[in-house]
Amino acid sequence: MVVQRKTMALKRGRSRDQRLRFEQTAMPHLDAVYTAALRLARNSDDARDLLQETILRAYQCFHQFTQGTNCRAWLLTILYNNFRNSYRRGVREHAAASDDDFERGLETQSFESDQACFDPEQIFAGRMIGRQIELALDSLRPEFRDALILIDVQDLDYQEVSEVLSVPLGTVKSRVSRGRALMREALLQLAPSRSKTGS
Amino acid sequence: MDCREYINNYLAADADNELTAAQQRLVHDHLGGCAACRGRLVDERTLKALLRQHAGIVKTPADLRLRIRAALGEMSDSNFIAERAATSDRRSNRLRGMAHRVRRNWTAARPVRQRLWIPVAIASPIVLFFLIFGGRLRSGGNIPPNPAFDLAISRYESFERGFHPNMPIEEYDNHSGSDYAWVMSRDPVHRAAEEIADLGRSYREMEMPGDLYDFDAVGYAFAGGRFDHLVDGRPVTYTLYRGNGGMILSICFKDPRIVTSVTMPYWVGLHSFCRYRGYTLCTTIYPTGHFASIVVSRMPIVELIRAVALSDIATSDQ
Repeated sequence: MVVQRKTMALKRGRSRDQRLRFEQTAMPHLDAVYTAALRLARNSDDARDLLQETILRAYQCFHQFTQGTNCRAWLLTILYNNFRNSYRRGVREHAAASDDDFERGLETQSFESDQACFDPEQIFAGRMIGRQIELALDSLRPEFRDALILIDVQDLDYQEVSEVLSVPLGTVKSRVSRGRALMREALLQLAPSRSKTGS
Repeated sequence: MDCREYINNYLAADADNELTAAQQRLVHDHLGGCAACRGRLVDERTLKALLRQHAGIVKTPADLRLRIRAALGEMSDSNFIAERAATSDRRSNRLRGMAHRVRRNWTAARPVRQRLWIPVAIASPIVLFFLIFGGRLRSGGNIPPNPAFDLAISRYESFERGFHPNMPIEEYDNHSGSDYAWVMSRDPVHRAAEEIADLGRSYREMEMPGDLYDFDAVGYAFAGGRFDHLVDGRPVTYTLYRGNGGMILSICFKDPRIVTSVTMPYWVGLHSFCRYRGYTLCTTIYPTGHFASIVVSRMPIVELIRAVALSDIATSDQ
């Protein structure tokens, strides 16, 4: 009986250790994964569900995570798999928001970070540029957009992006290159329309 | 290498620092004599910076963060229950059922705690946490004025002047509305643990969480429980603990929004802590039933964190 209790105590200790390691290793990337979930689901409610499912699945599989590797890339791989395997087919269709709603949602949420800057003019100018960046991003096909976001926003390298998106390394390179070229074209197209409206 | 080859094959990877050493040499040779491509590289990096700045990371909403932490806590408990079930022949069916319930809904309220047993092996990592981080917990963060916290402190101060328990439910006279000091009316040798178990059951009958703290390890004994309603009609429970250092009051609300708007400076498991108006507060979100609790105490923040963590250890082991 005593041995059994000791075994139980050790198991509970192990469970708590795993929780602690998960808190220290994975939870600092929660915002990054939430951002990716928002971009995938394009709907705040679905993004919340997607994030929660991803984190809980990651916790269940945490023993498979290799210490010393990029935990953010590992979490994003789970997120994208989760989205590809079930989410996109099932949940997303019934609650897809319009692009405008999605952008407004992102703007609202990113407004909090504007609070650090107290110059209203600067905030306004920044938000105008941000709006154009969002419009240009939305004009890209998802495969180009995903590659750019993972590289430029999520800070992954090409090899990690290849694993997250389950595509060969060469495909990542060409998507990044092509994506940036398309992004530049989209921004150039948006620039004249801004001057026409006088804004 | 000509400009077209550089732009088509190397520009993006160059901006991303993804070129091999051999490619870097080739590119370096070309860029050294081509101002146009150097300009394109600057543009490419500017575009990267713009994307990072304007399509950057979005903050996870506080309530979602809390819900995820709560679900992780429940999942952590359920994993242990499942392991325990697998090793116990006598109780395996019952415990597997518990684990299944927790996994399915992340809802299972922890069983009412019957006894205190703190294995040193489990306690040591958390105690170590306090030793390491204790020195950083002096200020407790700057929390802006918060009506829920003000309400909790006002109740604490009111109960310091007098606390009238009205639970367990069988001793609450709903018709006359009179309050019973039920602890005093009971057999004086009645064990505190049994009283807590009774109270947990009564709270659950009132559709409130039956989870209670066990502060015995830090010298605070259970003093009584009270079920009430806020002015807007929402139910609330008050559970009071007394010790040589004063009181600890745990207030449970049937509305997690009461505490989700606050960004708390310190976290331990499902609990978050702060200093507010000279008090130490601990907020906890329950993963189901949409409950939240605020624990109020006058003790230093390090001591309350330790008390709550030890209570978690004591209660989760039973």
